[in-house]
Amino acid sequence: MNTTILQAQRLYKTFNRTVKALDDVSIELSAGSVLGIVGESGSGKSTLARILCGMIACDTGTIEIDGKNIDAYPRKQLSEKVQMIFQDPFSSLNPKLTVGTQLREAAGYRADDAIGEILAKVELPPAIFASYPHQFSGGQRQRIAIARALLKHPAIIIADEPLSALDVTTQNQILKLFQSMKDEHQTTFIFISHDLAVTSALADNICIMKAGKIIESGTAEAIIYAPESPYTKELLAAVPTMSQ
Amino acid sequence: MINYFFRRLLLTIPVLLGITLLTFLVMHLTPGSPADTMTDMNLKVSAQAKSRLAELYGLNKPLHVQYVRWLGRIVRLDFGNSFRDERPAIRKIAERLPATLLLNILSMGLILIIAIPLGVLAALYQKKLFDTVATIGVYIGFSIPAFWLALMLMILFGLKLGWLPLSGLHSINYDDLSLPGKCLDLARHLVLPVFISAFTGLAGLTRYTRSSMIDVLKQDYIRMAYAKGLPRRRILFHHALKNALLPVITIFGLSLPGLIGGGFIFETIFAYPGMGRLGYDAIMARDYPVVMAVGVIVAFLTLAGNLIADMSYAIADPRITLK
Repeated sequence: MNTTILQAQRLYKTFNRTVKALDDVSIELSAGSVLGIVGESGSGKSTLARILCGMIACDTGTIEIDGKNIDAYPRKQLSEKVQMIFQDPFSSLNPKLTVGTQLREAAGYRADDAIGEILAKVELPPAIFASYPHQFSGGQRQRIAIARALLKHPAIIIADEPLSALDVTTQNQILKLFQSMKDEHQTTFIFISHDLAVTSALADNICIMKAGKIIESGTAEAIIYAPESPYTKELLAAVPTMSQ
Repeated sequence: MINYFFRRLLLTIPVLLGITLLTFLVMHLTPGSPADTMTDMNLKVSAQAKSRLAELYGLNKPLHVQYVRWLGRIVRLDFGNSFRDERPAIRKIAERLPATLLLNILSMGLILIIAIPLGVLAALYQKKLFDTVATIGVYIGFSIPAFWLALMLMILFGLKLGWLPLSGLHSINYDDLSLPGKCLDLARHLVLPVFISAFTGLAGLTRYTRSSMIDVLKQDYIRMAYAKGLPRRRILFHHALKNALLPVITIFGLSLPGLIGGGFIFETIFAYPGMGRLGYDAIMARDYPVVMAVGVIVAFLTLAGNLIADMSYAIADPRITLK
């Protein structure tokens, strides 16, 4: 039986009193499943991600993680429940600190062996400890960011467009890494992207967002093969094919 | 980095030459000569005596000859003797340097102690009451002319209240005082100059720290540090401040000449026996050797300051490689 690990109900968020970033958004996530959130830029995906991991507060609505309200978690405990992977691997690592320092911070200064194990999962050698982020490629940095998130052993990982700043080859490598995390380790994900095709390869369920609202949601198969909303159909039509 | 250092050091030679030429020309093209300054108030001095004086100091030689001779001497760190009292210019500078260093290191320390926390807090409480009050406060300090504030505070604390001495670095009876008495006397003389120098210099560093900190706090790696569940203090001081203080290095490098050169007007107002006042008195007396020695040393320090700033950047920021 799948247990609900995250439940967000009727979330609203407005910026500068005029920009409605989230408008009555509700989602539910089961342990071990992957929820894809797809939408164009400005649809509210990143705002939703930041609210779900407690970085910003919503105006109204409730979020429960493991049956407990998100506000009831101290920040440290919340970081053990939810971790986030950012879109831009170039800005998400502190340029002045070595990778080792940043990973040790995330690991709560556990033994380097434990960090080495996680690094092996993301196919990085332990020798990277003494290096600075600028010494790595975009793909390697995103792997470091993923390793950092995994070190907390969080119940949920929110990946906010983790592929969009990477080239196609590196995108493919990172996507495979997410796939293996899902298949081999049953990691619970929220995978945010503007690319429906990529999301459908990974997600069990997909929500389509537009202008701060979820306009359609369902299983990945249902969204891909039997979309109801015209916007979802538009998104599917925009996916390039070989014939195009 | 060592290669870069030596290359930059070599590049300073033509710049320094240009500066020495400009300083030399500006001084020599200024109306009035040292011989005029020394003899103008004495009606008995004949034109012959004036020309003998000019000959004695080599002032009757063509400008380029004077320049080359002077340049030849300064390579050996011989800046010549003062026209006023025949003492070596470099010795006069060495006598004044400690007082200027003392004043400027103290005021710089005070600026650092106040400006960085103020800038950080203003960034953390951006657009709140604290930020507004701090911004207004530092802009007042920035806008008020230092000489005016100095005069006002001298009138208040020196004349009206009589709490602090008006000028100089020591009291007349300084030599008769015990060691704690000497320290107290020195401290009382330094209060006003240090306070005014720091107050008027706070704005730049506070604003730099504030805006730099605001920029850094918006970065993803700070959000990531929060997401890691790190304590707020570690995020602010270890992650944010380390990155936000990079521009401060530039300001520090550029303030090095001021640290040694002193403030001409400022030191004159307080009759403070530092480099600034030495330079001012030398200009008024057309004391070429001293003026040019001060000019060259300050110019050299400006270049050294820039070089130190560049090198510090490379040390402080692992992304910067000097080639």
